[in-house]
Amino acid sequence: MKAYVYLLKQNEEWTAWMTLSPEVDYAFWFGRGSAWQEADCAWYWQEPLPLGQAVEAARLWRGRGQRGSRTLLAKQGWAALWDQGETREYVRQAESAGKADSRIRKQGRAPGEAEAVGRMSRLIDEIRTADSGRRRSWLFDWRKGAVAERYEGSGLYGGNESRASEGKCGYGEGRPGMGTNGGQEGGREVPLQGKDRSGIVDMRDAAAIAGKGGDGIVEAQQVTALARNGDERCYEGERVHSKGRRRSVVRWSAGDGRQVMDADRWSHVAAIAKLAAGLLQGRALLSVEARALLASAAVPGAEANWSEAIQLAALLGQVRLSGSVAAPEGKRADARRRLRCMRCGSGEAHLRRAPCMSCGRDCAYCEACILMGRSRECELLIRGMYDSPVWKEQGLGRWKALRRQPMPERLGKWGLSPAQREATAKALHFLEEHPVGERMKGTRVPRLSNTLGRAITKLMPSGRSRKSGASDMDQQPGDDESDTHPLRGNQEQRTRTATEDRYNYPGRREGEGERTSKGTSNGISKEISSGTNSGTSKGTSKGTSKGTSKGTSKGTRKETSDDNRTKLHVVETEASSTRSSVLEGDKPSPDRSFLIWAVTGAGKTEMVFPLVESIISRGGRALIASPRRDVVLELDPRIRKAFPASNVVTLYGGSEQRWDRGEITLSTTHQLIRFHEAFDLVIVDEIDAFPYHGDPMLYFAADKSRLPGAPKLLLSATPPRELQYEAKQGRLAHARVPVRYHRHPLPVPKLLRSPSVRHLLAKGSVPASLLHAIRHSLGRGAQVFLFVQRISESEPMAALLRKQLPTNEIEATSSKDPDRANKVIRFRTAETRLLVTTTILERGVTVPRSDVYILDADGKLFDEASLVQMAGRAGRSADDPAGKVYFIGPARTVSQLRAVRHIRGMNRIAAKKGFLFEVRRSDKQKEKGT
Amino acid sequence: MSFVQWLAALKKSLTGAHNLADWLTVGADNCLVCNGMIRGESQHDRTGKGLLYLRQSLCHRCRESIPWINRVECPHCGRGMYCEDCKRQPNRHFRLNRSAVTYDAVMRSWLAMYKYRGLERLGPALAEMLCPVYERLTEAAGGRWDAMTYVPISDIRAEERGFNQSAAMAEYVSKRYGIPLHSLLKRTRHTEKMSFKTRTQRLRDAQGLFAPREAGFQELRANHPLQAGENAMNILLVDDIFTTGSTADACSKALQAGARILDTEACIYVLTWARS
Repeated sequence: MKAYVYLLKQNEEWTAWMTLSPEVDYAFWFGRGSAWQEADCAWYWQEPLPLGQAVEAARLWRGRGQRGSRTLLAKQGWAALWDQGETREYVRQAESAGKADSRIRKQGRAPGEAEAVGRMSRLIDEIRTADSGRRRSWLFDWRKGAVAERYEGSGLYGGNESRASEGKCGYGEGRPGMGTNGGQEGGREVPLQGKDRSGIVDMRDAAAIAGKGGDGIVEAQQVTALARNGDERCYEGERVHSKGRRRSVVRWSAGDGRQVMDADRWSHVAAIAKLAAGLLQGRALLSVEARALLASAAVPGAEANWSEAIQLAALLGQVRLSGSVAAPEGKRADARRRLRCMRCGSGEAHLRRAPCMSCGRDCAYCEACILMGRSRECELLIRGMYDSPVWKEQGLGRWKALRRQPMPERLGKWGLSPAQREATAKALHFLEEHPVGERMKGTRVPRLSNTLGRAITKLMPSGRSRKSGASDMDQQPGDDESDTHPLRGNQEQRTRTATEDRYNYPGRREGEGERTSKGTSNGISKEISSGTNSGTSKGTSKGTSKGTSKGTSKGTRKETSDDNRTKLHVVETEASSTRSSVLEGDKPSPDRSFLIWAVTGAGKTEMVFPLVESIISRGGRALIASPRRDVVLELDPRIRKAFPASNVVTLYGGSEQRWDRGEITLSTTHQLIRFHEAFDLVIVDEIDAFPYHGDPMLYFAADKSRLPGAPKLLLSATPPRELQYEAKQGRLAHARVPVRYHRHPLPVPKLLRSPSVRHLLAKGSVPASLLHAIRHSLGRGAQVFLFVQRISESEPMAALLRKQLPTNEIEATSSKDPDRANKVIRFRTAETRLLVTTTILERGVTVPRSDVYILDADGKLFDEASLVQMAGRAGRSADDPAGKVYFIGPARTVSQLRAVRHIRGMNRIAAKKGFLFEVRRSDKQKEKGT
Repeated sequence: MSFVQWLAALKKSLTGAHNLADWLTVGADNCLVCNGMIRGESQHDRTGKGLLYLRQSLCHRCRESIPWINRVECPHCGRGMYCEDCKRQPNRHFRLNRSAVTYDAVMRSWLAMYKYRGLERLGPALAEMLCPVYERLTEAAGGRWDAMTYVPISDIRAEERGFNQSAAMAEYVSKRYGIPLHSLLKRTRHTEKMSFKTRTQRLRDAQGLFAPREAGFQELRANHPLQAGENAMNILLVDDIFTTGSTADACSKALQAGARILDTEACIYVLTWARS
């Protein structure tokens, strides 16, 4: 995908923008009623750049300009500052300093147009060189690099690019006068071309000037001079590239005679943009996925106008656009910048370059998340901003009522055991009492209803014509209903009513966009520019919108004073040292994790309910994620039953609710890469299970799916050692549930000695002790799990046991068994009495009355966690709490002993805290005695 | 062996590799397809000796699962079994088709990974699978190629997918055997994916779908002037799958039309990766 770049002059400041659809940007800044945007002029590069380069150009321009207080803050470390609580004061000081600076700057001179354009041209060239340098680097990826050069030579892949640039800004060199209307051939550029061509600088002159300019860069200074002499408002500079490619820069300004997108179309686009912004909230989608999302919502005309709509939403700060594989912010601009998949966080080890027909160069794609759609450099990643109501001051009635209840009452209705209640209360406390308000407000998103409403009213507006009942977007209560825009004529009024009837988008309210008149214009533009700025830069950490715009202005002042390139570089290095927050994924706030360490069968799911309730009662969104799809499917009905009034969305590969969004989201951890700062509470179940455990991509996905500073709850019966250690050290908030919900102790494994499975199979017999134990289990009516290490051993073992045991109801299953689900069902319904299985059934399976036999318990595959989990299959129901567990193997290993110690330890804690049923315990002792 | 012969042998052995770096590397660590360990030879391995890259990048299990077409039953379309299609349409515009493998479930999953998922690292391995069948086809065609070309994809698909699988395969083969590769075809319209269509739909849709790309033919003429005594060009067309042959037929027709621009005849041979 390709994109365009332009420089915008606004309040004596130059800002750089990337756009997918210049038409929208032109209408946005210079369209009718442009009084409210106050853009002076803009320079637009007609040549489409590969998406990554365009984003980079806009970002670097900002990065080089942005300097000052932020750098200082970054140097001292955001996190530390936030923690000390001095931040607000600090930011305030920085801001007031910034204000003073900007006053001084205003008296000074903003870079002239020619200077700015020249600078941007150089910047683009620099990016291009760095980019190709990176691509050619032998060390980076020799194999692919070599291929790329050959492709270039053969013209197989370069063809696309040259065609695009010829088509889009094609001016026939030898054809006189083509400069003025040549762009018409470019299709998309048509509306941007001036109508009044009488006074436009002849292209041949411009070309001649460019030719004189030695190095071929636009001699914008001269062009400007020429234009001023001729008193032109619209002219074009042209550059002849060394390869014969042309680049032309076009000046935009209000009323320069260009054709603005007509009101009808604009309103159409705005309507789609509004819907899209709502749908995209909290999502990180590739453009293909975003289109599928719009299609699934049956937005009229979305397919044809999606890029325009997305661009408008981006201008309004509702979505952020970037390449899907890109270099994270705040790093250097040269060839050494490392790329990263912005969706799954994978580094260059998982990236691969291949010649790309879409952007016409060697383009990196991510192999780590390729099963979720291909993320590559020239693929657009759209991240929708979610403005969470949870940590805002205004609470909902539901929440207030909930808060007033004392804790025991709140937890009472969920039917928790004392141990569960204690841990849940601790977690709730962590969730609600932690002073995170400021941090949560970090991400500043302009109010959708306001800004977009204004954008819509700008062209299609007027007349408080309709009242739309249902609304899923929040509304500013104080929205004043001023009169219609003075510039708007009757005709427009008519158009607008017509279009509104056609597009009845949700959330559109009476008077919402009416505040367009001149009085508020300044504020809006500020809001918008700051909103979008904060979107792409470091707004998150700051928490106020003002700060961002100040940062920009300071930066520009810096540029004004430094004219030559060397100094620009100084600015750049300083700016590049600023830490980014959003794109990098490192949050200014500390990691808010809470570990619930609950034994197997403790009823973790029930414990989660009060926490989820707390979040959704505040209007927030909660996520429950699990690495395993079957766990997600099993949770689904339970959650729906617990929260009948809430909208529950269940996501997994091939889920039908793929594009739905609800208060509660149930998801596999893989699906989380499609979210971006979308949840106020993230709960990850079975954190030590495959594939989540040890996969950085999934960790990244889980972290980025929550809002910065939002709590993350980790659930596990066997947390990884690092977490156990951190919890012990007091670095990780946690609660332990040492007892099962039925308040009986965990069955303690017995160790049995027996030859290995290989030997048993070779010999064709099973030791008497084992047979005796299994007969006893079957005799008492229990279901028997028999775990083996290898898939290849499961079937022979089942066959062997069928021979040796009185029953024939023995089956074997493994991950390679297509009939696995049915076998597990048969086992659950006691049709099969004994199931030989591998570790695939070590967790997530609850069979009421069961005993567990682990063969080859000394094997490498069975570590402590695995053994504890398998042992946890026994005695799960209240009817039969004392299941039996046997570790069988030729040797005792540390893992076995640790697992036993783990289980005993939990039982001991439970007894000490008085969570166990004393009566039953004495019963059991009696039983033992008999 | 004379020095010249020795040089020729050396050159021949070197052309199988991408570049010097290929000679320095030991190959991928893990199997490109299943990520399993790559161990040494196995007895049932039918992978040809020349397929160096395939041996280095696929594990023996995956290599064994490749359903090579070693015996051709249908002389026209190169199918490994009796072929109805060729009976039904005897007059097609291409001379022969030869495919490397049968399009079974495993191959389908491989191609899906490569083509639809976009796992381009599979590209060279899949392309190398064309080599044995290319050699056989070259023999059948008389050992001379004037040009090689591939089935183009539409602009929309190019934008979406980012690469043309046929072009990538053709590129590999052309580099390896030193055949001039030209882009001789263009699509006249964008169509839905062939794999979603029925037989009749395919046959109907493919008609007039391709047109000769004149610039490509001019280039071909400039680089490769017609030798005296030759009245037809041998053109090798590369595609990924041969199902009904409708695409190959439409392309061949367009290529013949293109050859007429150059005042010659074209004799089209089709090289496909899989025959379904």
